[in-house]
Amino acid sequence: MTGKQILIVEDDAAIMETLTIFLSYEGFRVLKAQNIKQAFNLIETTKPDLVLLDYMLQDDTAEPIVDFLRKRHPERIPILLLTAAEDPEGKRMLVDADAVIPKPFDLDLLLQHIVH
Amino acid sequence: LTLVVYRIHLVEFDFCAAKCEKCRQISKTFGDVIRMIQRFSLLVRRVLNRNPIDKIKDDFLSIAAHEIRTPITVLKARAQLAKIFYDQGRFTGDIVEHTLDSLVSESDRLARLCTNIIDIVRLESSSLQIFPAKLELGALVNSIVELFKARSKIHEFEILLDLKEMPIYVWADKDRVSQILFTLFGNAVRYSPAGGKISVKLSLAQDKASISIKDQGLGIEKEKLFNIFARYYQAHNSGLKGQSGLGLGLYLAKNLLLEMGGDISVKSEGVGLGSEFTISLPLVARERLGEVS
Repeated sequence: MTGKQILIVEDDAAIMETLTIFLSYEGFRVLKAQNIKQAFNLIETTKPDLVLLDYMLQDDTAEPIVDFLRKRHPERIPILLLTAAEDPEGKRMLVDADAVIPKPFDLDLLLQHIVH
Repeated sequence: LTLVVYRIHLVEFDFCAAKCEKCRQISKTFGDVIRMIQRFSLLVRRVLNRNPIDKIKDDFLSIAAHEIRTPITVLKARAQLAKIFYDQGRFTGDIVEHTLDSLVSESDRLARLCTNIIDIVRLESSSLQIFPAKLELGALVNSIVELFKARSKIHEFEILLDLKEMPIYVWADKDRVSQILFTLFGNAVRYSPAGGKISVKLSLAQDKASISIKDQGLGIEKEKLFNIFARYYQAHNSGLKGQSGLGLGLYLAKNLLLEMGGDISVKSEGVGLGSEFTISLPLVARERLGEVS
């Protein structure tokens, strides 16, 4: 996956920055969205190879973003859901994501999920 | 939490064989985090042992756990990143500086969350203590703004400060007012866009002083404004939907202010249009001013 484009949708600035440093270091190109509007704009204008998506954003949950992504790009772009919620698997099923990574996450595990 | 503590211990002790000054600082930060998490775990165990969990307690614990996982995520990932860079001999200069800033900032955030959680438990059991005294509000606001400005290296924002009315003396608990201002500034900074402006104004109105903190962040839907200071608001908002991270801090801020004879209000034109929080505190009465001067 190295060299591929990853869209990060995360409202927490510190988590966003940490993910950006790590993924850039691992050779990925990073697109960043802090809210639903920014995410919609980037999904509209680009075609990421993978989306790293925080479940609970400041203005809503991740559900509208997944719906928009699936409509705009019918070929299935993988979605990795990040969540600090009590039932990560439940959240994954709710939005039809490909995998879920509970917070706090391990960077090695995150990378494994991205690569596979 | 036990697993997180264990992993942080591993990072702490494996970090640097030479125990250089920078690594000692990081070690100390991790030590503080471990103590905070242990204190928090102990508190949760006490609450669970004292009473059966009803719906309110269940909501409280879910929100507390959710909020606390966010700074732990950053601390853990930053420590792992530092180790990656260290192993490659690249943990130098700006990277060290930036890592330390981030660790300190997230440790502070975790500490404030733990304090808020402990205070809410005390508030619910009517054992929260307030120690009001004469307080110069402008100086306090200024000192907290300076602390946040130092953090603008990590997340870009600009604070515009209007303290024309200084000095203003209020009758309030300095630690509690600081705690409230940290919650409000923290929310404003966390959810502001990069380069966003945060306006802070101190003013007088009759027998009250007020501080308003206005940001250009995500804003709040009008129908949600009324409930935003309600107890554990997020949990009642259909399965933790929206306004994450605001529930505990604002509920506590409202109650602390009421205890001190003050209040808090919020304005927002809607999503994407920023928010303005205003707190008010009673001025020092003339007779009280005589007592303490």
